[in-house]
Amino acid sequence: MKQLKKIIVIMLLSLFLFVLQSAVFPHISFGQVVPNLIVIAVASFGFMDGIWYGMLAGAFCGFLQDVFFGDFIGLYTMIYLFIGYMNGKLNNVFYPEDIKLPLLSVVGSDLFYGSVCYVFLFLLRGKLSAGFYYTRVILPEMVYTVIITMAVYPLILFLHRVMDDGFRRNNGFE
Amino acid sequence: MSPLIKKKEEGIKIPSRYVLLLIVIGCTALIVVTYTTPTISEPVSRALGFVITPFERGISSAGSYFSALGVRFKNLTELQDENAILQSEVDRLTIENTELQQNRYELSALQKLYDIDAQYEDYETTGARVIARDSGNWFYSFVIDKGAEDGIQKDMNVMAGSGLAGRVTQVGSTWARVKAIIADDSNVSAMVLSNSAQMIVSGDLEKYREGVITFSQLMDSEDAAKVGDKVVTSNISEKFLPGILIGYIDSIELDSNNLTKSGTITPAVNFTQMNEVLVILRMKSDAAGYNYPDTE
Repeated sequence: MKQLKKIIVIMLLSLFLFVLQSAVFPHISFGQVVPNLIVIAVASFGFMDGIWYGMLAGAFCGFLQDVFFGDFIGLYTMIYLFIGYMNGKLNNVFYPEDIKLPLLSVVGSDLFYGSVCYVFLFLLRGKLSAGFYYTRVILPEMVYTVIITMAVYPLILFLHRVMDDGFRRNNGFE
Repeated sequence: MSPLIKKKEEGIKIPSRYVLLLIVIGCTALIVVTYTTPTISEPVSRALGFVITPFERGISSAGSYFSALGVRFKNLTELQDENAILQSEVDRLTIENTELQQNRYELSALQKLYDIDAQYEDYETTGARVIARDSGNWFYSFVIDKGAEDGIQKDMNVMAGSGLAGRVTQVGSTWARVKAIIADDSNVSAMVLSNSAQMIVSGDLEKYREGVITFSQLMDSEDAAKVGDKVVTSNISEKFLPGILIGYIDSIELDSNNLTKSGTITPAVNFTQMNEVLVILRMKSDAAGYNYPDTE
């Protein structure tokens, strides 16, 4: 029951964040670079709630992005699934007070996301100037995303605690 | 680790890496299937769009409020200077406009003589609002708030202001996805307006950061195409209606084969400030034989 509730909450939150990312974030782009909120969300669900929830959020967000913006379905699902999975592995060393792990994992996840996108969607079409793509697209996105992470991390942590406390209390009554 | 968390992990028996492997295999299969037969994904996107577009419609108006706020902070003096420049431009354009209107009367009279209908003003269009943009930094596609219910079909052309913005690539019941001409994987068959020399216009992420898109394979042996010339969609294009403005030539270079030319084009549409677009309801596939008098 507790798991089911958590699954529903994570799916609703992912849906909300996806809408936020595609409808609002393009308006706050800085030098044509948009921060990647979905990477932050999937990574946080991964290291806060474990592999299963990370994979759930990743597959769900990725699938939405595939359906709405991909030319074929499956690639983004796979990328975000991996991000959720790898961050889930960090669950054992996660301490809520320590912001270093979240920042590092977002750096890693976003670099991973950018590199895979470049290799599969650009390199395979013969666009070889990797230097340009790293310096003008991948790294700026990463920096912007990390800055956003620092700003929203307390909020994510708060949400996480409210969620867990709420479930624990509900469970007590049942 | 607290016993509470341990208990949760005991509840699920299958190791996570097997599930990961399973989904990865599933995704790979899906990629292959949807890449080879794009129509398969349509029912899925239709169903999902039904759930998500209402949210996006609401939230995107909040988003445009933010960007409007940013513009409002622009320096006041800057705006005043801009106003003065624009005012002089308005004067100049008014004069030009009257001149052009006279030319147009002349043109329409001549066209009647030749039995040619005016092309692009005749296209029936419908306005739509941009409600979502590609969430990454890699491609440029966007979602509009009109779909199959409003008569939108795949491959319809989309304009913003006076220029070509893109082409509908996917349709849901109340939404449609448009691939912009500046997207890295977009190609448009085009021609120079002045001498009808054919070319291919392609979006390029690398060049678009400088505000231009690229063109290639321009056959122009007489050096007639010049910087500043208008580039419009070609009449031999399969998906795009003829004569829609794409942009202006920004630079031209002779290719190493000494036959064709390539270069860059400044697009007529400002893609960062685009909130409303026009969808042309006529499709190239049913416009065949529409107004080519010389084919008769």
